[in-house]
Amino acid sequence: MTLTPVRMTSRSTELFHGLLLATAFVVCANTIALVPGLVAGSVGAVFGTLLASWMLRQRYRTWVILAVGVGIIAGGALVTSLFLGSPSIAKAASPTLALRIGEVLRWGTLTWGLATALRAAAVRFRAALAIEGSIVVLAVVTTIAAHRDGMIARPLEISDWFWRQGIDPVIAFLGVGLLGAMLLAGVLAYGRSKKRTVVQLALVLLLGFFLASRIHSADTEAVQKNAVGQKLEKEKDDKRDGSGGGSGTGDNKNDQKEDDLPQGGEQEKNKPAAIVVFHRDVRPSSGIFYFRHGAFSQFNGARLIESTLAGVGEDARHDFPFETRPVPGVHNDGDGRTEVATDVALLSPHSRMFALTDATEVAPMPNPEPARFRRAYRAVSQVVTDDYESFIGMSPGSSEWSDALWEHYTEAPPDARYHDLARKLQSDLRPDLKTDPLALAFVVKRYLETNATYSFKNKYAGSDDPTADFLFSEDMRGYCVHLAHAEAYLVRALGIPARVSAGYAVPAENLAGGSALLIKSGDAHAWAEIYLEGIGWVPIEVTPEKTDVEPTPFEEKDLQQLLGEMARKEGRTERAAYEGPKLGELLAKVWSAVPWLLLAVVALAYAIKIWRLLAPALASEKKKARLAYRAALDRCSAAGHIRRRGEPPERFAQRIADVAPSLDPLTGVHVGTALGSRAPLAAGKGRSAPSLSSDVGREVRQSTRWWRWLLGGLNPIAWWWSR
Amino acid sequence: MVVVAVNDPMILETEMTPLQTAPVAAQTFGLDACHEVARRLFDRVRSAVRGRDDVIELVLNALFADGHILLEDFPGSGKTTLAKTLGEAIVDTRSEEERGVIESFRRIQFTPDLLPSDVMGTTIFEPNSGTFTFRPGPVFAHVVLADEINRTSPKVQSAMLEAMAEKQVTVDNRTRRLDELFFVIATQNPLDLAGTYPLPVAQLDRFLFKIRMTHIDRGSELDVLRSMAERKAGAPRAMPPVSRDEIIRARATIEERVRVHPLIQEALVDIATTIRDDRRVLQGVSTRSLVLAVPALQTRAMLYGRDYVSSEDLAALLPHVFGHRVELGAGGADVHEVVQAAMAGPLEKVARVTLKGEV
Repeated sequence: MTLTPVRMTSRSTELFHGLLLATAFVVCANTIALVPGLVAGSVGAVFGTLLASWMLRQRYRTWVILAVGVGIIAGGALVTSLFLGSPSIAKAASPTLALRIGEVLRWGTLTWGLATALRAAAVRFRAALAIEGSIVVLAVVTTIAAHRDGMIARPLEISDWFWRQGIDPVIAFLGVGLLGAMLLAGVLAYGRSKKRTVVQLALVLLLGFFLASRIHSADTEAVQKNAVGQKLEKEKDDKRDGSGGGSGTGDNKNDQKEDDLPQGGEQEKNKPAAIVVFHRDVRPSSGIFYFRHGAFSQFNGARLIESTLAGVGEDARHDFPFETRPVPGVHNDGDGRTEVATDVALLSPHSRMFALTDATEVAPMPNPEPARFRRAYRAVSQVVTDDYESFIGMSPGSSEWSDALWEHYTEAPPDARYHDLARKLQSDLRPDLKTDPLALAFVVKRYLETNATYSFKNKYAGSDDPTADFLFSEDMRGYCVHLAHAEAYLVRALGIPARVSAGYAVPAENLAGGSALLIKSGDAHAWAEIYLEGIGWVPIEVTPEKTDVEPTPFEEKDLQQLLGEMARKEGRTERAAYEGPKLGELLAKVWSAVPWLLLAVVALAYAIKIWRLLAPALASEKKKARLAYRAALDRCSAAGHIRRRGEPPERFAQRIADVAPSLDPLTGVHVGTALGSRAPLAAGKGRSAPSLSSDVGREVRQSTRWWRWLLGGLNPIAWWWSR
Repeated sequence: MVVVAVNDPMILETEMTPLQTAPVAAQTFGLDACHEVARRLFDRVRSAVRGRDDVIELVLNALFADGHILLEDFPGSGKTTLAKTLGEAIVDTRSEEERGVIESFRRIQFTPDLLPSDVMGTTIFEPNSGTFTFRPGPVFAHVVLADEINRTSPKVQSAMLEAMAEKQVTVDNRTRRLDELFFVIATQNPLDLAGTYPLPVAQLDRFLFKIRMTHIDRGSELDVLRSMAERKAGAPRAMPPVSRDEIIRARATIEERVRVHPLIQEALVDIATTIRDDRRVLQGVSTRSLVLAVPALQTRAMLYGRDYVSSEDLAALLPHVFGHRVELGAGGADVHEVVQAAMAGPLEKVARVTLKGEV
C-alpha cells in the first residue's frame, strides 16, 4: 500500500517514453512530413509526454488531461490552417518559409496533443497502454513491412546467410521486426505488474499477428492484381505492335504515352475521361467528334510513328497550355469548316492535351471544380462541317509542300501487295473519279468496311507488319488501329498523303441537344486522315459492317449533364472558396445517424456495465477491493440504492444494511485498502472482496421486488449513478 | 436537538473486533490493547450512567485524544456521576511518591466569588514548623469536573484554561506540573445565563468537543430508575478498572499506529477552508483546531476498530470539534448546518477519489 497520490514515474522514464513516441512518429510520418515537421513532431512528442506526467502529478482528472490533448491538436490544426490559408503571410515571408512553419505547427501540435493524451490514458487506464504500444509497434511493422515478399531482403549479408541455412529471409526479417516491436512494447509496459505485462504483450502479439496476416493477404492480392496488370501490359504491347508493326524498338517513347486505346474491361471503358463544353452548336460532317491526341505520319521502315521532321505534325501534338497560344500548321481559311470553341475539363490524368480537330488556338483555364477535375483548358477548333461530297474534285496534298514532305506523307511499306490491292480497288472506280483523292479514300474505306470484321481477338502480335497480316488474312479481324493503318497504307500506295491520328472519337448524337459532351476512356480511337488542298486533314472513318464486339450504348446522359454544369462554372483559383455540404443536408445526415448513434451508446453502456461487474475477477490483488466495491455499488444502484452526496461510504452501507448487509464489510475492505489500513482484508471477516460483492448482489436480489430488480438489470446506465 | 454521534459505536458490541496489528506491536501496547482498555472503561462508566452512550463515547474519545470537553447540559442529567465514575475507574498504580499529590477525581463548583487559588492551590504558613508549604488545589487530579464554568469570573476562568492548555499551574511564581493524564469535563447551563461570564470563542477553542445534550429517552430513563438499587449496591466499583498508565500508553499508540491518509488531511483542510469561506461565518476555525482534531479522529478510528481514519470519522466528529469554534454573523443560521454543508464537498471528493483508485 503506497501513500503516494499518483503512480510516479522517474523523469528519465518519462523522457524515454517521449523519445519512444517521437521515434515512432518519425518512422510513421517520414514519408508525408518535411524535415522541419519531423523535428517539430519529435519535440512535440517529448514535450507532450512531459506535460502529461506533470498533469498526472498535479492529479488532474483524466478527462481534463485528455481534453487538453484534444484541444492542443484542434488548436494546432486551426492555427496551421489559418497560417497556411493566409496569403499575406506567404507573401511577407517566402512561401517556402511559410510552408515550413506550417509543417512545424502542424506536426508539432499534433504529436504534442497526441502524446499528452496517450501518456495520460496509458497511466490512468491499463487498457490504453495497448494503444500506445500499438502505435510504436505499428511504426516498427511499417518499416519492416517493406521486406515482405522478399521485396528488399537487404542487407544481403544477412539474407544470404539465411538462404544458406534454408530459411526464407523474409520470415527472419519479419521475425526480427516483431521481436523489436515486442521489446519496445515490453519496455513501455515495464514497471507495472508482471501479470499485466504478460497480458499486454499477448495483446500486442495478437495485434502483430493480425497485421502480419493483413499484410500477407494484401500482398497476395497485389500479386494477383499485378499478374493481371502484366497481362494487360502485354495486350497493350500487342496492340501497339499492331499499330506500327515490328517489335517495339522503343525508339519513340511518346508512342507509349499516347496509347489511349481501349485495353481494359467494361469498367475501364465506362470510366469518364473528360467533359467537353461546346460554345456553339456544330455538326461535323463525319457525324463524329474527333479529339486528336497525336498523329503518326512518318514511316520509319517498319511502322508509322510521330513525325520527326521539324514543323510537321505540330497541329496534332500539344502540351498543356500555360498561356493562350496559336497552333501552327492548321488550314483555317474557313472553307468547309466551322470554328467552335470548346472547354475541356479532364477527369483522368493525361500526359498531354487533346483537342477537337483541328485546333487553331489553345488556352489555359482555371479549374472550375478542383475537387472534381484535374485540369481544364480551352481550344478553338476548325471542325469539318461541309458534306464530303463537296470535297470531290479537290487535289490531294498542298502545292506548298516540298518533295520531302510529299515523300513523308505518302511513304508506304515496300510490300507489293498494298500496291496491287490499291490498284485493283482503283480500277473499280468510274473513270472520272479514278484520280480523285476522296473517291479513292472512300473506295478503300468501302473495301475495308465490307470485308473486315471489327474484333479485338487478333493474332497479329509480334509480326513484322501486323497491318499486312490483318489486311491480307482470310477473315480480316482487327480493330481501329489495324483499320486506320490499312486505310492509310492503301491510300498512300495511290500517292495520296495520309496519316493515322489517335485520340478520342465520340458520336455527335451523344450531345443529345446539349452542349456538354462526355468523353469516356472507351472512346479512345485511331483513325485515318487524308490531306486535301484547301481543306486540310479530313478524317476517313472505317467502320466494318461485321463486328464481334458488343456495342456499348450511351447511358451517361445525366452524368454528362452534371459534369457539364460543373465545367461551365466560373473557374476558381482558391480552394478556400469551396463550399461544403449545405447545413440542411448536414443536419439531415446527422439526424439519420441519430438512431445508430443511440444504439451505439446503449451498446457501449451495456459493455461498460458488464465490464464493471466482471472487472473484480480479472483485477490484480491490489485493485480487487476497489473494483469489487464498485461492482457492489453498481448492483445497489441498479436496485435504486444510491449513496447521497457527502455521505461517507460507511454510513451508506449502514443505511442500506437491511437490503445488503454484506456491503458494510466490503466497504471496510475497500476504504481500508484505499486509506492505508495495514490489514484491510480483516474487515471482510474472512470473506474476499469479490465474494462479498457477489453476496451484495444476491442480497439485493432477495430484498428487491422482482420487477424492480429486473428493471435495474436491464438499465444500461445504472452504473452511472453509483458513487 | 440531537447533535451526538449517529451510529452505535462498535465498542458497544460485546464481541471485540480483532485488530490485525504488526507482530512488533503485539509484543508492546498495540491498537487492540487500546481498544480493550477503552472497552473496559466504557463498560464501567456505562454501568453507572444509563442512556448516555453517545456522550460516554465522546468523552472517552476526548480522553484518549488528550483533549478536554465542554458539556452543555441541564442540572441533574448525570454529568457529575459520569465524571466521578470515570475518575474512579482510572486507578493510579504508581507508587506513593511517584504519584505525589494527584487524586483520581475532583469536582469544582464555579461561583462568582471563587478565586484562582481555590482552583490551583495556595501556599500556606505552617506555624508548627514555621515554613510555607504548598497545598494543591483541585486541579491536581486525573479527572476534573468544572461545574458551571461560566458562572465564575474571567480571572478564574483564564487560570483554569491555562492549566488545561499547559498542564501546569503557576502559584507564587513557581510552576508545578499537573498530571500527564489531566482531563477536564466542564459544564455550562445553556439556559440560565443571568449573572454569568460567557466564555469567549478564543477560550472555547481550548475544548476539544462541546457537546449539547438533550434529555434521555423514556426507555433509558426507566432503566435509570430500575437499576438504581443495583448502582447503589456499588456495581460499578465491582467492574475492572483501568490504570492511568494504560491510558497514557494508549494515547501514544493511537498517535503512532492509526493512519491518517493524505486524502483525509486534505479533506480536513478543505472543510476548514470551506467554513472560513462561508459568507455566514464571521470567524472561521483555527489551525489549532485542525491540529487538535487529528488525534480525536485517530481515537475514533480506534474506537471503531480501524487502524486508519475514514471519512466517516470526519463526518461524525467535526460537528463537535468545529461547532463551538465558529462564530456566525447575524442572521440566525445554525452552526451545525454550516459545518454539515461544508463537509459535503470534501467528503464526496474522498469517496470519489477512493472509488476511482486515484490514490
